[in-house]
Amino acid sequence: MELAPALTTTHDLEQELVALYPALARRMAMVLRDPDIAQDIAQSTMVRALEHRRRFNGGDLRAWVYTIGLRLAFNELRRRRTVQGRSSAEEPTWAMTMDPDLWVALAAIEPRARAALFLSVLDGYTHAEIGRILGAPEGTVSSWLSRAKDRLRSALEEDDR
Amino acid sequence: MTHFHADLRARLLRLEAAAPDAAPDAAPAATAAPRTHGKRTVAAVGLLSLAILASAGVFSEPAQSRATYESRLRDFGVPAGAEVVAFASDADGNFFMVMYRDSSGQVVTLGGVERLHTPPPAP
Repeated sequence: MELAPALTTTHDLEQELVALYPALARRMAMVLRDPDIAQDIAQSTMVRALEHRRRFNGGDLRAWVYTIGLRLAFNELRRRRTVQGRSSAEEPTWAMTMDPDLWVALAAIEPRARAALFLSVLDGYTHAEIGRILGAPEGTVSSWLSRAKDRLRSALEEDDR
Repeated sequence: MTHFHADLRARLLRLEAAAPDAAPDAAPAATAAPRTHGKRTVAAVGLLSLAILASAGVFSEPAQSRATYESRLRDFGVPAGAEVVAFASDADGNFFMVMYRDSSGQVVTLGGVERLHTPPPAP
């Protein structure tokens, strides 16, 4: 009689994973700056999350999925730098239409720091939580965030002048 | 929250909301074309999201292709009647990854996600 609740929980987790997919894909596009690669990584993340769902011990599912996704994303960025050099992909239309100044300013921030910035500013995670998601010490996260915000402040205020 | 932080948050929210979320369309997996970008062709990994939706009851294989779809599942090793949780297939409908729930409720994965690479053009 204990099987049914367990199955319901597994099913619920699958539903929650599916529901998270659009947000994950958008976040990957923001971090990776290439919608095609972002889509690949988001889908690979879903496969990993579904395969390893038993490792999820409850709590913040979004943080768990972002942890998988961002690590895959950074691995992919590393691989691309090694094999192909820097991407020469054109800037995406959606970004250049919505907020080109911000999009260009974000490009100057290293990908891990960029991811940390989104986790902090958009999701409200603490520096310690971001450190766990990105596999970095809390102090490093604080340093990334400080530098990223300084850089953005400088770039965006220059644009306003 | 400082004015800069609040403004940055609002702008980032708008920018992220405009980003593509790769929402799957209603095209059946077996007939979708592979996507190409740069020198690389990624075959049908993008179809996984379609398959994931199958578990949510959002997507169902059209009736006319169901028999083919199910026979392909059998050929790939999925037991008859098993609930498919997710799959990925190439443009010809050949599965390279299927996750299904067996009779005990365990999710079983067959195959894996592979990416097909095309060689760069000769200089």
